[in-house]
Amino acid sequence: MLNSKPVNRTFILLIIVVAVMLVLSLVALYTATETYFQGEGKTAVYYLTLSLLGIAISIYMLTASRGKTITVFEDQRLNTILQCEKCNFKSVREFRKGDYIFKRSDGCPKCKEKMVITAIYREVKEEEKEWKV
Amino acid sequence: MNPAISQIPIGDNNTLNMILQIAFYLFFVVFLFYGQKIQLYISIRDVEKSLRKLRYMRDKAREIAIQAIKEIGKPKEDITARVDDFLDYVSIAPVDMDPSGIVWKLEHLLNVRESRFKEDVKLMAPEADETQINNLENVLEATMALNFIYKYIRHFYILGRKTLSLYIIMQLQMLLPLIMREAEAYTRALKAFTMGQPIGDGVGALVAAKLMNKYEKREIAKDTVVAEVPINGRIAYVLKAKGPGGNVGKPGEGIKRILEEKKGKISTVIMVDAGLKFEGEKVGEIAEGVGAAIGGPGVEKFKTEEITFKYKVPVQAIIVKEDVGDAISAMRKELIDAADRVIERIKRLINEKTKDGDAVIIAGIGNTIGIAQ
Repeated sequence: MLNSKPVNRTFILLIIVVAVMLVLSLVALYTATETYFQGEGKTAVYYLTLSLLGIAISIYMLTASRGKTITVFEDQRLNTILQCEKCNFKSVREFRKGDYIFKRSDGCPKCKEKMVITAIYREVKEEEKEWKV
Repeated sequence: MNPAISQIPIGDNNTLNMILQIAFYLFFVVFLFYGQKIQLYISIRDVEKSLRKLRYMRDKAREIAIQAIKEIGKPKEDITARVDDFLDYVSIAPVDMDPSGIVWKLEHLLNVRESRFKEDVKLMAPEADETQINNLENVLEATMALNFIYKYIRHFYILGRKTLSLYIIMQLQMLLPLIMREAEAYTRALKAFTMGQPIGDGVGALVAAKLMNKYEKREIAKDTVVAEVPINGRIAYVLKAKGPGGNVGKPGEGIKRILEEKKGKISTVIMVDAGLKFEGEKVGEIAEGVGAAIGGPGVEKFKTEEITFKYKVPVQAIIVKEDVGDAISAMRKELIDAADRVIERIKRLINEKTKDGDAVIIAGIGNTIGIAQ
């Protein structure tokens, strides 16, 4: 049911095109410097423009084709807050499989009573861009 | 100049000008006749990229689901084929040409679906307990959603390519950012469901759990518990889905049964649920209003509206704002903090809208995964 294509011919073609374009751009850049020192300023500008354009397109094609890492499967850090109902001692630790809110879990380090999980949460660090409208 | 390079014919100004002019005309002609096709291929490429990402998400989700079932349920045989069959499960909505009575038909369909799901999960994971079965069911539902999204987008993508219709592909391309957000949310949900972590949608259930924690509970409807909690001299019937397994319960049925038990002598019903925020609003913001605050297919909302209308009981709503991504991924700190603020609001509402000795219903709506009571 879930087969994936092993060879991506488009990608190989893209690499060849980019490589050819880069070589030509570098040749154009070299010619631009040569012609400039020969006093042919106008021609040098043509070559320079062509060369820069070629390099820019190559870089764009490469970056656009680069697959972005899918981050949604990465582990998220979750905190579990435990509270002792007897002495109100609070502690925070990393989430463990099997934790749930209102579960009696670890012993209180102060009075040895079983502590209750009062919260399980993740903290989102990245600030969302604020739109001033 | 290097002699080899100087022999390149474009060294001459006139030749270069000629080449540039020909290139310009060529571009003009190509864009005149093939502009739309070029745009179509650019759009196809864009859709293709998202489709590949969706396929990856679906495959990975399937892998996670199979792994979780194997780990928790310890099946004796290979469950891969069974999981694949499960992913294509369909529920056919009742006919709506004559809408009278459709809610009960829909309720029956949902009940059958739920029990069939549970039976299938039990068969796949024989050693899982009730909580784990509920969680695994949630994992499979998220995987099913990803499978559906992938197949749906692939359908229109192939259709667009077959017909070379710019309009099919462009519609797809325009909708994709929103669809991808939803798919990413389901993908994040998988982790939370597998680990049994509380999710953003459970903020209503968390509020109810905090209120009823130290009081005796009884099952009022299927997978729904209620506790009698004294609040500021009133009796509050606090109800929520039975946790800590992934479960939404039947809060509408629960409210109906309490109102019938009390013969309608309830001053007000307060419903707490997570609600989608607008862009620009902050996660954990609270909004108050009136009406049945409950999502889903509509059966539970219908029941709540019917019974509260019958006994003329006002329904107050408290909504905790969040993103679709936050709703089905591990609960954010902002939502945990919001739960305490909601309790304050409930107390204030009770003081303002009811008298000493009155009875009220407080319903915490949402998936109670990772939240006991």
